[in-house]
Amino acid sequence: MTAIATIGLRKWYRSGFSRTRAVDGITFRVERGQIFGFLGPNGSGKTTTIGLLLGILRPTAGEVELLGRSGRRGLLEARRRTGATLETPNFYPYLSGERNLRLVARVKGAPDADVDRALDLVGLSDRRTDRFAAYSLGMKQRLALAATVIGDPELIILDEPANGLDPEGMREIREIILRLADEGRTIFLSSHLLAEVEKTCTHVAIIKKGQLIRQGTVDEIVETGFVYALRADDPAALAEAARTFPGAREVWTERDADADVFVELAAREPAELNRFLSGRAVFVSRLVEHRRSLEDAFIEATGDAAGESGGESTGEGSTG
Amino acid sequence: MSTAPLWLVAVRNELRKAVHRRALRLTWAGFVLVCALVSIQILNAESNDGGPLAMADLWPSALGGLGGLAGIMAGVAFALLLGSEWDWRTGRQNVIDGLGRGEWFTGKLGLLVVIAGAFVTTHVLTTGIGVLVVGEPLDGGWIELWHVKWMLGLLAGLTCTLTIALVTGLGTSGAGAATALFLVWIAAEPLMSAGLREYDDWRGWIGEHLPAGTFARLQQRPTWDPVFAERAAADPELAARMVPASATMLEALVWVVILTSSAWLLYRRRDL
Ligand SMILES: Nc1ncnc2c1ncn2[C@@H]1O[C@H](COP(=O)(O)OP(=O)(O)OP(=O)(O)O)[C@@H](O)[C@H]1O
Ligand SMILES: [Mg+2]
Repeated sequence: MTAIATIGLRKWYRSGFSRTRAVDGITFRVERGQIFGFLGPNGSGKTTTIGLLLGILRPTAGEVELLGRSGRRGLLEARRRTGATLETPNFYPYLSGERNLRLVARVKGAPDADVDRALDLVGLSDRRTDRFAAYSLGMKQRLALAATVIGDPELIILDEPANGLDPEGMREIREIILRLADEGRTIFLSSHLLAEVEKTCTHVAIIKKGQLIRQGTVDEIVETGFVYALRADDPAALAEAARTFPGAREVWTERDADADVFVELAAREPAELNRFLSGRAVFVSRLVEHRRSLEDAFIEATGDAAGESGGESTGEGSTG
Repeated sequence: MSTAPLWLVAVRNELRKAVHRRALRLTWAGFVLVCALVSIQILNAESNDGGPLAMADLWPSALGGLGGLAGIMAGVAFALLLGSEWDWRTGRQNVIDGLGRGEWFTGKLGLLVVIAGAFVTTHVLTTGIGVLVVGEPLDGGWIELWHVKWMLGLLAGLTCTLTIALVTGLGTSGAGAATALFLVWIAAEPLMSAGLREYDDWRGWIGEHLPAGTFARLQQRPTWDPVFAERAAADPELAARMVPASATMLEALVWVVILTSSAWLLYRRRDL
């Protein structure tokens, strides 16, 4: 069953004579039960995409399907079975956390017990009567997460849920997300905290300048082919010997915590490689399959992950 | 699980939020103070011959004593309440949480009517204290029918005035801008009206029927006092300048439909 599907989703912002292609023809699917990470550099269009999913931005083109429903009425109905945050925690600053959640519960048609459970889940029960304005950033983020679970939603959409949290806070949020997924809910979250996503998500999509450039399971994205990391007393001899192995495609050296030499093979035959090397009197002290981190994969895919990539802006004037 | 329709949930949520809102409490407290001042003026009133004051003669001072202040204060409060939804991005979150845009809009309309009702009730009760304390029910009358009609006129006029704030609140993107634009409208419309009335053609006609002016007329004595109607019947020149209550009501209705639909169109199509 599909939880989220988009077809050719597009959003161009216009301001004066220029336009920004914030989202430029995005098609993807999130199946039920997945924890789907939506990755992209700053300004790549993550928030805009989520805004389109939630019906608060009007698409320039394209279609959205949520929990199998589409059309204005259908999406409205599906949104009531979805919990979501967008960009920042958005609450009434003069009301307490609890009162804010009660307003949400009434809209969702959820019982007040849901509010207590949600506050418990995120550990805000003892601060429930404090005004939202008096919460710390971490508490605000947790309240936003609490609001998304009210009404027992099938789908939870989170825009950078761990933004601004300390490592302890991040771990708590990660654990809550995993617990919610265990309860059978589909989770869609945007982030640029790649280590977090790698620990949490089952599937990811990478967006850059409004376009999807990679999508798949986390394993598929970090998959490198048959690359092995090796270490020996004499790295130079190791590299030289490895280059003569018939199954070796490429051999390179790199400063790495636990490897001197990396070897890419044509097939999964590390034992063959080891036997070959020992035949050349090179004895490896370490030989492991090398996995890239999601961060490596991300940086490779997006090119300039650190910089503001920004949507494509043109000065062509409005489109017809 | 609640089974109330969503638009009703939206209206109730608006009221729950509003009672906790300091901007509303403060403007309302200021309004009570202004009404109390009018009430005190009435308490100090003396009849020309030193005899007792008739209640029926005091009501006009109570109901007309505020001029356009009720519209300005309630309008500012409403614009602030509405505009903050953009500042805090709560208006978008309400829709994310599952309110349809139509239901959200209906919630705001409900709030509008309740604020108008609360301000008029405050007005009538607070200034009414002066009337009841000082006045005597001479000629057997506490109040006359046209006073009651005038009170309804206050309610209708104020409700209508708030639709201007509805437009500025949903057409801008923050409490400050919404309030400023509302005040500019209220201040600029009479000037524009005066300018247009210099003409003898259709422009002059429009000048006399701009929204804030029409809504103000609903709240003013000449619209409801039978004495003015009688005078107009005898004096064609005055009759030409006076708009009967029924015509004013119709005009106001047309403006409310125009302003409310404009607000809806502004809101319905915008990115939140
Ligand atoms: N309301 C708007 N008007 C005009 N341009 C906008 C608007 N909102 C976003 N943009 C532009 O659209 C592009 C995508 O922005 P978006 O907020 O979706 O990025 P993001 O991936 O969520 O970034 P971040 O990681 O910084 O949150 C950016 O170039 C941004 O400047
Ligand atoms: Mg964002």
